[in-house]
Amino acid sequence: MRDIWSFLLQTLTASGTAALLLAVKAMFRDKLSPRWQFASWGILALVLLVPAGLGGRYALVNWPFYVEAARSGLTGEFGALAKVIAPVPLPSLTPPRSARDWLFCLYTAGAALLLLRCTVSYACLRLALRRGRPADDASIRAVAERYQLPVCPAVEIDGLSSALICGVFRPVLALPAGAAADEKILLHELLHLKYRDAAWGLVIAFFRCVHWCNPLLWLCANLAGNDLESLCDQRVLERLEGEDRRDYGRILLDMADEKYARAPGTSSMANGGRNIRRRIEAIARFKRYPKDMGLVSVCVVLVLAVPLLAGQRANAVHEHPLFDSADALMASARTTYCTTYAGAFDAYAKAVLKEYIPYRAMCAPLAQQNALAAAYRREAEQGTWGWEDAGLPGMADMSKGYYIYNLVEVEKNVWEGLLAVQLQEPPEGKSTGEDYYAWAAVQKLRAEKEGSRWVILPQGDFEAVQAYGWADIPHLTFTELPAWVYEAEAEDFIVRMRRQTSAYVLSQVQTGSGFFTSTTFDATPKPDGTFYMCSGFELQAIYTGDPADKGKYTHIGVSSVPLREGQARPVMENPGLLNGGGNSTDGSGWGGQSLGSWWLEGDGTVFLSGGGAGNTGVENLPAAYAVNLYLNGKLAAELTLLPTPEGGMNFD
Amino acid sequence: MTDRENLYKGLSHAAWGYFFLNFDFNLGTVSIFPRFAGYLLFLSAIGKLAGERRDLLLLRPLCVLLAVWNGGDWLLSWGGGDIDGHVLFLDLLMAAAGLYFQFQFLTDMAALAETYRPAEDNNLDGRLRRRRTAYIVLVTVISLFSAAPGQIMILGDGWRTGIILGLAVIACILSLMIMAGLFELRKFFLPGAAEV
Repeated sequence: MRDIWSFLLQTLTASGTAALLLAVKAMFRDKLSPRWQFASWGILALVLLVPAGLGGRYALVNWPFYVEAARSGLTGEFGALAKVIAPVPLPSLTPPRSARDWLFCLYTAGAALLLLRCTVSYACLRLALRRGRPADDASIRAVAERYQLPVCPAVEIDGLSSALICGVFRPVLALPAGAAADEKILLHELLHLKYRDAAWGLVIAFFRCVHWCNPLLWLCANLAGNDLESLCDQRVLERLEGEDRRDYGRILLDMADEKYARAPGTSSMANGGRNIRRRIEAIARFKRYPKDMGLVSVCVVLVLAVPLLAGQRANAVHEHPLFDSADALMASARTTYCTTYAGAFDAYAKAVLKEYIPYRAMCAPLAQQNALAAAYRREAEQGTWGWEDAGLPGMADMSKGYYIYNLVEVEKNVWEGLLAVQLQEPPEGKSTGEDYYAWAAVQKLRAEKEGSRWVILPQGDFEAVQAYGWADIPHLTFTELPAWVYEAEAEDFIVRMRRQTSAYVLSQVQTGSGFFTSTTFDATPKPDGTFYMCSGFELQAIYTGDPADKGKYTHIGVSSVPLREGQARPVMENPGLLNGGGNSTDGSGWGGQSLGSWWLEGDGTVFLSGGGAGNTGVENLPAAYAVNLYLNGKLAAELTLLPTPEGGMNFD
Repeated sequence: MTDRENLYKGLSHAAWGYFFLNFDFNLGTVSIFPRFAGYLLFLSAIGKLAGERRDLLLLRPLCVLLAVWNGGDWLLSWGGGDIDGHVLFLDLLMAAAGLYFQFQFLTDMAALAETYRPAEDNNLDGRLRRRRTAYIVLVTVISLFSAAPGQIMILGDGWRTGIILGLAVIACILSLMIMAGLFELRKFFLPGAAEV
């Protein structure tokens, strides 16, 4: 916690858990054992130890959104997110400049002072114990022997109201001077010693210091301390019988009016009148809980702990009834950030399709958030909704969705791809007269990690491309788009392999019911989405020889196999004099064409083979292709097709 | 009504309660065997059996709470909505309440079987306890599978749904076995049967 916002996020997250635990414990007060009552605080301890908002998750309530809405609302700053690095206050790296910085200083100073106070009070107690008179340990040893409990040094202290154990590693039993300690009191304290309960006292004191200004957590700290004493009572009662149990209750009753001081690192039998009354009620209810009660106790803890610790993620930007403003919506967008690169591409594509700035904010770098928030606020004020800066050359056809072509990881955690969305009409001034073929707007994008957020950085403006031969933009072998090209030349031919991939996050939803169902594109971003990938290839031979010599070729065929780095060239079969081609799942392909009159009259390009596959996952590009070229049915050359410099992103 | 008739009816209600709790047949979005009816049957069973098992009275507030929660869910289902998944705070509270209720209720039923075990010991109480344990573990596992976020699960969403469905089927079979056990226990109190 480095600023007041991260402290707020941490303490509010813990408060939600605390409130739930208080409700559950109230429900099970007379039903589950004191062991469960104390152990259930472990859930709160774990929530307090885990940095709030880790991985974009929250427990119970979307506190990251509320804190972010408050932060940006009060500061007007959108280029940062409240983030908890550690669950304890860390010194600020910059000198305080604003009221909020001073508030954090005040909080840190409060935590430090309280910690100091605890340390001093513990040190004073240890000093007092050192000055105490050694107590008669015969009775202590007798109790320890009878109940098979450990012993520790014991001292008598003047003015001490009740017995206590102080310390975890070198514990000391402190007894009030001048009065013989009752056997049951000794039993209680020795049980604290056996189970090292003083350590829990330290843990509780630590959290009390860190969250000193949260009254709900103070209440929980008090209740946890009381539950620890009730647990010890339960352990005592399990070892006593009949009248001894009633005596134990009477001893507690005698302590009800005693003053007590809570000291860290100690466990004392007396803990205040009201608490003792509750403990006596618990003693009246005492029963030995059956062993199988442990099962349901563990199950209840698991059912509560797993959702609280694993948390949940905001998966949609939403307008909030309590924070009905453009800034709050942008806060929701910033906190619903993308946790996968696919989610980031998806959010960007849908921001473009819907021309909706909050979706862009989900995947925009923090440095751009101020400008986006200002643009969105301006639009909200003017009532003109739309993301003008998206730069689309025309109106996008949202129903057609989007494709990310040629996705590739250019370095660790950096992905590049070409976004293509279909346009409803040709861009202004670009009509070709064949506008029944689809027009696509294409933009090169890069996804990078910014902390735990995936963000999208556009690598240039949109370009308008017409998909000749297609009414909708194709998701495989979109010829007019760049591709990864591998080439080699032999005899009178260039053999060229064009390879493309397309990816999208599945967003088709079925609407309607019964016979009246239809599938529509859901434009809601999926910030943790994964890609559905397709890949396609096209193998061509381009004649480079003298056109007059074309006639000497009657058939052309190829076999191809993708080669990984260092992979030896495999043996390939001659496809024979077939017309057509095929490919297998390992990426190898074959194809051939009889060269008839069309060949003599054409431009010399022969389509040899092509195909594609769906659900391929992200593929690593082959280092090269091994290709055997067959002319007139005979092996003419063994080629290695190497990648050309243009790659899969650049337009020819 | 005699005590035995009361016990007989109480156990019938308890057994049928499990049917309503675990079997869901919907007309559109509305269940024709609503879960709240199951809890109302349990509530009636508690009233009839409390004379034999005082501990059952501790379950009454929980049972009312669960009946109200599930009744609200059923009413909302008429409008195509549901109550679950909107406020996690309440979802978790109800999950914990349901788990404890089932455990303690079946524990009390097993204790009743132990008390009224006929001379020819058929270990019905032991069987009821084993079924209770398996049922509670299953309900917990289903709850954890549903709550764990997809990203931290090794399995994909399809597998996760499949596993949850598989576990739910086993839970239904177990609830049928529990019902059978409770009907068997009911036989101990058949009007006219000899008292043990």
